[in-house]
Amino acid sequence: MNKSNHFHYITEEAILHSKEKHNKNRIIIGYGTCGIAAGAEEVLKEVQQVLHELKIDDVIIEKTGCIGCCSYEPLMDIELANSPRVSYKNVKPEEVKEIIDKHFGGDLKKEKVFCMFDEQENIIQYQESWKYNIPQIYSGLPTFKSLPMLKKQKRITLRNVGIIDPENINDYLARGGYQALYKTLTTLSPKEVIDEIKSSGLRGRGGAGFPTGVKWEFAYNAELSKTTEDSIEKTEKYVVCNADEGDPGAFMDRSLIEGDPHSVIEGLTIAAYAIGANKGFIYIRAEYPLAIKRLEIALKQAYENHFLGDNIFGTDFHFSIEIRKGAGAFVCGEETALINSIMGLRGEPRPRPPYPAVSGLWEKPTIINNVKTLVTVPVILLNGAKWFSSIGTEDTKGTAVFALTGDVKNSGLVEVPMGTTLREIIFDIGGGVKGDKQFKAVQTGGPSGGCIPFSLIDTPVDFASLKKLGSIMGSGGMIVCSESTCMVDLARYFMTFIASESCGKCTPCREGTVRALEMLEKITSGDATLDILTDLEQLSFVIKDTALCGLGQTAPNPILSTLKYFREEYIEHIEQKVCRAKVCPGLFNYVINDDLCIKCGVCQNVCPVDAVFGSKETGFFIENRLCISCNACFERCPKKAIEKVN
Amino acid sequence: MNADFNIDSILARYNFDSSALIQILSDAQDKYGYLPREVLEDISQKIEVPLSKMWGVISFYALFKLKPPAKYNITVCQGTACHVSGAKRNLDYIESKLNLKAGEHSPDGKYSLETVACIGSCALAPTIVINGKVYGRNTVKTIDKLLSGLEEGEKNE
Repeated sequence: MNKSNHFHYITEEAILHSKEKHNKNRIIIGYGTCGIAAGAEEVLKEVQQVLHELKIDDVIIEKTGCIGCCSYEPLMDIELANSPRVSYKNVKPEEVKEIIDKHFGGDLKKEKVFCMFDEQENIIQYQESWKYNIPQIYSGLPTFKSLPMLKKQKRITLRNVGIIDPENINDYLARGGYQALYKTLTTLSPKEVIDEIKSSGLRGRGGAGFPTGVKWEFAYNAELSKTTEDSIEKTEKYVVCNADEGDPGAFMDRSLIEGDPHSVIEGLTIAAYAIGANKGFIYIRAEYPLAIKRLEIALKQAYENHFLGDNIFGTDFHFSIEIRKGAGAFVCGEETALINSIMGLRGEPRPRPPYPAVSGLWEKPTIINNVKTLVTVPVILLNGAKWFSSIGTEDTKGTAVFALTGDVKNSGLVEVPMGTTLREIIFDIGGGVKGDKQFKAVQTGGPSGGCIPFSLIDTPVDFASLKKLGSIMGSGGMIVCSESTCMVDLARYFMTFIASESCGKCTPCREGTVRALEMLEKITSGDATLDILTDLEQLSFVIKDTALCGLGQTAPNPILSTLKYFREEYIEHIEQKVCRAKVCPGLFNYVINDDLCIKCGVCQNVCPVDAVFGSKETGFFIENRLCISCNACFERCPKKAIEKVN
Repeated sequence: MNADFNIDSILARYNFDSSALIQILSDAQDKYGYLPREVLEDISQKIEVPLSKMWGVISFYALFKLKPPAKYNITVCQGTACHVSGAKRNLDYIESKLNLKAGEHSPDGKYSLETVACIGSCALAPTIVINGKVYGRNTVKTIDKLLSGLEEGEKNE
């Protein structure tokens, strides 16, 4: 059998395989890192136990990635043969038995139902789609796409996450996996691939937003410029997937790799073909063990099926991928630092140019693309550049993936067309601020980004609009801050992070960030005078203008944006020694309200530094000079009798 | 050379390639729990990278450890989402409960306390990792439960 027939054959096999799965009863558990942390492991054990107890066999138990509705984890889905998949939310192990018992008995535990899956969320989405029958009892259940959290989303990059079993290549194939690679290798020239990506308007999703097709073209041309009459030897080239998702508060890339690892491999292989590389690396954080494990499994499957290796699909294209783990250095997300790290060196950046597309790994042309960029590539090649560029804004085409977290009701993964406003993301999709707190700001772009106040909440998200506000789109972390977040403390927090992550190579970043941190610490401890703000601002501009790499150049953004939009909080800390959010230790006091206090003594027991004095007879008081503001008494008081006062 | 510290199988995995230094070190650390000096000397000789250069790499990356791990390694995530949900307060609380500062080992080798920049489980903020298992949505109450759980485990041994 020739190689192209072979591919059709395995795709058909995969679809058959998936059909069989839909014809059986399945229980599917959200098994990403957050799902596991929320208790998916215990739920899975309980499911196995319960099925055994109830003597229900012939059930396929599967794991899937994170569907992005993290507030509702652990999620347990049940799909009866030929019926829609029904998802149950916040499942506790002790609820498993009742849910399974009811569901398999033709009933539903309605109050635990999260949603019912649409037909687009079935495993088979290639050549044919699989139709199900909706049992009477399911009528009225919300479908996945109609959930308030999902209504405004458009899932292109996240197309398979939470739907397929990431450890089963058949699931990926039955949803059209590797079709784009097949089409590329068998019908398109490298130049045609580059042109298609260029005209789609895809920009790098790692944060900087550089046009992907243009980057590829640089690397493609790098070979031509080096070819002279004497040396017709082909230049070696490399492609790298940057999965060093270091921004604290971001987990899009982790979820993508955990939930859909083959799409990363497919995207990277297409990129390699386009520029003429035969070797690829996936540089991934060691802090993501599950993502690494799933990638390893996926790579093995891809080699077994000859989607990687020699003569892929019978063409003369060879390509292999190696995983390189990082070892906990934020700066390695910067591309020149990442290159050093892959070569086994200290992850220090170097000045650009030369850009890696011309001189990268071992001084060979190297392109480095973010996970989300690569995952988007196959879809563009299948659906066409025109389709992709019809989504989004003039400035930025396509969709943006955000990790929405912080003080927001529905935290999780969000994918929206570029141009969607912050308000739509935070309030319509995110459901607004948690509890009855007031919205204060949204932080985007991690330590390189900034804080955007409520007054600018109608700003559409794309690279240009966010930059104009002094923030950046970044790789996609979006942290909602409520009135209980102190903006000065947040700036201090980011500066602590940057000062410790600075690689130390250039002075502005190594020394400047430490000095800026000292100034911020003076302010948050109430020891500063007003003129410090001018110094802080000046220092920030110097760092921005003179630092060597992106890490240093963007490091002052959190300071500058909070100074711009929340200056009054800085002034309050300095002049009145007041932290209005009651976060900065020393700038507020814990006081026991005697009217509410029942003298139970919990506060005294829980205080780790013995700052609570008194007895059950006389009542208690807090000595704030000893207090470390750990909040333990405040959280544990059964009567909420402890108040924070300025 | 101590026979317990045989590193050849790891080196062979990477064809004794010095560019895989970080992978070799991290595999060695997985095997021994930390990077013993004997192991480093052995690696240095066999892949021909001077120990001084290796030291430069090891000290650059936060995940490499030169001390044997404590029995319970508690890592408090300091990501942004965790920070705005009270990670700093939780850390302060644990520090004073265990009488340890972040980065320290307890003298009896029972606990080590660390911070991490972000583990990417932001929706469950604030998170704490104990010996690799992630615990989410922590408050003083859950921390007390976790710590006393570790103490209980001690007693039952």
